[in-house]
Amino acid sequence: MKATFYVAIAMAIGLIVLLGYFLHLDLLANLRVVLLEWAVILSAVALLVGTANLFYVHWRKFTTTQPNGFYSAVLIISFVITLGVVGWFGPTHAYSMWIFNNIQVPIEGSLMALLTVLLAFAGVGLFRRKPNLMSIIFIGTAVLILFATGPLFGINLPGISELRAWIAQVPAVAGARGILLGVALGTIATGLRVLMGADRPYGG
Amino acid sequence: MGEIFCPMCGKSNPAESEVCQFCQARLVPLVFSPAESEPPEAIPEEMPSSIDAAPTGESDWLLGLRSDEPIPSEESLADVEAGGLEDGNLPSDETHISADDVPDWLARLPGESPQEAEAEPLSDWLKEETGETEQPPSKPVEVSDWLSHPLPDEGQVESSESESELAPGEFPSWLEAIRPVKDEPQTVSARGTPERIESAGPLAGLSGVLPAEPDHVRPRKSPTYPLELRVSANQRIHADLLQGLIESEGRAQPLPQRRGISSQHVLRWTIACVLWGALIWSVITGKHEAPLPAYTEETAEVNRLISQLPGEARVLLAFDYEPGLSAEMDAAATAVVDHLMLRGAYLTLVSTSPTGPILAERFIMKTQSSHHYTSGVNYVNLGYIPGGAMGLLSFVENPQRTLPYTLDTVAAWESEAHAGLPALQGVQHLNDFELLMVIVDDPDLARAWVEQVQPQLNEPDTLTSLVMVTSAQVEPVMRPYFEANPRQVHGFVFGLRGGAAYAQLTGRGELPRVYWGPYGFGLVVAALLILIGGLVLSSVSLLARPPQVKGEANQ
Amino acid sequence: MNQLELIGLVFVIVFFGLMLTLAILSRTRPVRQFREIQAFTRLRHAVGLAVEAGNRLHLSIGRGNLIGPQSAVAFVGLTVLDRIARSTMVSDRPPVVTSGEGAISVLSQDSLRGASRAIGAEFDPLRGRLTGLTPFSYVAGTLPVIYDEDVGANLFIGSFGSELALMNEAGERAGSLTLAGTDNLSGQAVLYATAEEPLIGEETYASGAYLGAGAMHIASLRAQDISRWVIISLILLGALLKLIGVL
Repeated sequence: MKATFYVAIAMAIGLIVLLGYFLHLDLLANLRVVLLEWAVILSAVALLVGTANLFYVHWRKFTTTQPNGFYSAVLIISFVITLGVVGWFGPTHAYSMWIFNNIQVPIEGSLMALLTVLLAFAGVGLFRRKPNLMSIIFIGTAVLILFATGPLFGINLPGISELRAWIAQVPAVAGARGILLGVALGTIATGLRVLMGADRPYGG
Repeated sequence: MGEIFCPMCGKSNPAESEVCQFCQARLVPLVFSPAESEPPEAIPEEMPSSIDAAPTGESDWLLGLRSDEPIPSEESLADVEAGGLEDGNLPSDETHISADDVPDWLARLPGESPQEAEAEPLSDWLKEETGETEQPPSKPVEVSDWLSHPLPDEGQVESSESESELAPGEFPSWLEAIRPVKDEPQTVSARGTPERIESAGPLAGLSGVLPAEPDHVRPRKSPTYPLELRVSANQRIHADLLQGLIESEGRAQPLPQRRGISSQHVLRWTIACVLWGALIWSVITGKHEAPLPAYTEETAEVNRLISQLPGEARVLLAFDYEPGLSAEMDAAATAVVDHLMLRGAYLTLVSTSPTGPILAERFIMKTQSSHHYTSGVNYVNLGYIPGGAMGLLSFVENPQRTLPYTLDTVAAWESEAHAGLPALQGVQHLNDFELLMVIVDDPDLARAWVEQVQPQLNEPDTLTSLVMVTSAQVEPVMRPYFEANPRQVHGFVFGLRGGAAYAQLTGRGELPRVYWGPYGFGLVVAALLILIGGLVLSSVSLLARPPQVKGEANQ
Repeated sequence: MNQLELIGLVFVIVFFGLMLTLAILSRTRPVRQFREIQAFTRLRHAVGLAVEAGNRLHLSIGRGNLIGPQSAVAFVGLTVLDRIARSTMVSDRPPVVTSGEGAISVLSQDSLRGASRAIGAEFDPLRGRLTGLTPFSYVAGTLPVIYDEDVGANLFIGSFGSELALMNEAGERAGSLTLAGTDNLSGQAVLYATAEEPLIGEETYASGAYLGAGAMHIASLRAQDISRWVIISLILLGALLKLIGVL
């Protein structure tokens, strides 16, 4: 009974929003706006719930002395300090900006730099792991774009910029479009399944 | 105490036993009473089909020899001779024959010696079972004492024990008459095979006679097989493996130690050191200054649109990138935002990312400090739009309701109660802004902006332009929006390359100039690493691969 | 309603009808087998091995929110979670789910609770976690799960960007199977180079059909196949007409 009720709500709201997008009827449009606002509010509340869950997980990890519980303690302390500083002084205060500029941005930038090394490592070992034609094309294209994007020690190889532009504007765009079309079809199928109640990722 | 050896199974039985206790064969031959026998009148041409109707004038011993089963015909007799008597044809145990009438031939029936059994070759099907094509020479097997001695003459044993009961048999005259002369040639049966001629007893010389002791019931020693098991090399390997598995069961196996430093670790560190070393060296020494790249059409369009903005134009600036990519995005957007500030534009900052508003503040402070833009005066930061694409749609349809306050919780929009901040004066809807600029690193987010904003911008009499400053990875996805007709995005700056080209156009923007040389050097080093490293690694792994053994390949 | 909206509405209705028709037909006619996708074959083995060997399965559903285009791939991740949770909840080490968005983490806990209730096992809310709100903080929070919680296989099915390479690398270093699929183009590019079993393009959306999530999943996958061929034909026809000057 409960499951049927949840499915009925999901189907009704989904239909209203979908039809409200295509059919420009006042009633549908107003309903759609209200429902979207509710969704935005729920999304913000879910963000808070998720943050609380994050805190609770690491609190449990720290208090039950699980492996690497020390890092959970660091997270909890950082969480409390940041919440306190930003909540008290405001997000644009110098203290808040100091935390952001000197801790979050460098850490995330370092992870991005690490990603660079990992991708280079993956590129070096790609042909060994997948020795096929697609890997050769993949590596060849990557190397060509890398050479053609930078200044190449000031050397201007004839045609390399044009080749790079052609690769970026023709095969890359075509491939991206193809993948996006497939993804869009999958999105429509998934959305319709949820609308029909065939897929119920809610209600347990 | 004496014992009798069974003529059928060869096992020892007590002397007084009449029947073998193992196979129920008679140990004591049937005794024929001479007084009861009568000379036969004639040999009947056809044997009676049933012994129930006893022919007249037949000897009692013959009657006694008959079983209760129907007497087989000549053909079946021949078959039986070839294959031996079946059980059904064995004489009944109830028939009594006097001891005196035991014929010599019956008394002299020998048992097959073990040597004869050993010498008999294996049947073909047995050879196949054992996997032997030739009969291996049988090893001299230790034979039991009872078996090593030849079976005693049963006639002698029986005669000694039942000497008082048995008398030497006399052949009836009719049998004497049909007995062939010894010199007569061997006859051949209807099948063309030489027939067995009985050599002893009352039927000596007769051919086609059923053997008293068929071959298949003669005790014989079962054929011996070699005790050594033949095992192939592959089977030996499998057996050893199985033995190893069983022996290791129950024993705690030590976990394999993970090598602290493996070749993969070394390769990672090498790549990291080469890349980072090249970039750091380039930044420190400053030796890789390179000319800025030429601008492209989409970059030139951005420059044109900003140049055509009126003074004190209202511009919506969305900071939708992540802190991790702030290095690239800051470098790409610096020259563009600098151009905007040079034009004196009022900026309204928004973001659909939780860290976007803070990133925007950081960007203004760090890269545009020379313009002395003040929050609440020259620009207003409306903060975070929750809800992703839906939140964006909500903001596009009604920005005042979606973000009524600034990040500092000051009422931002013009209303009856408030004058509104300078940056938002005269702005009620999205298309009241002269320019929309989105600084974004994610292709999905960029598409979401285009898809949500375009319906508003497509309304008639709308002069608002949409331009984007994006990461280089977004270019393949977003370029079609620029090349569409009509354009959905009026200009692009793609990555650091686009930012450097824009700096070349405006002649301003220090950050992209500083980054451009080391960036290019780093790209070349990375490309060479992938190319050379990939070739070397692939060659090494190909050469190190062990050649396939043909036998293993066939298996 | 303008022309574009009308085309969109018609397409949605036709697609819906196609799905329903195929679902009804599949009850009477045998369904043609789909091509083998190695990733799903290995996933089935990994699920069985996780229960037998006492390893844990780690499923990460990404950072796509539920009210945007990334919600579809997030739902696919939740479907996969539902399928594997019911199989692996009985093991000593039930699966752990990480996500980078609040609503997704709530739904993942909901799925785990339902699976626990279905088999009568105890539900631990810590099995479904939000590990970070930005892409790199999400990765930084997920890496300890991969390294420290005895994970036998990692499934990354959701909306991920290029930060996915860090998680794939961690899985490889920890010696666990990594199976990944995303709707993001940057993510798919790094997937090809770093993941053991990448799901490229719409293979991610086929997860439900390959894991036996129901007849409607199979019907929707077949409808996608048919629609794809129709779109390909239209594109080729349009290009040809453009080439000869008709359009």
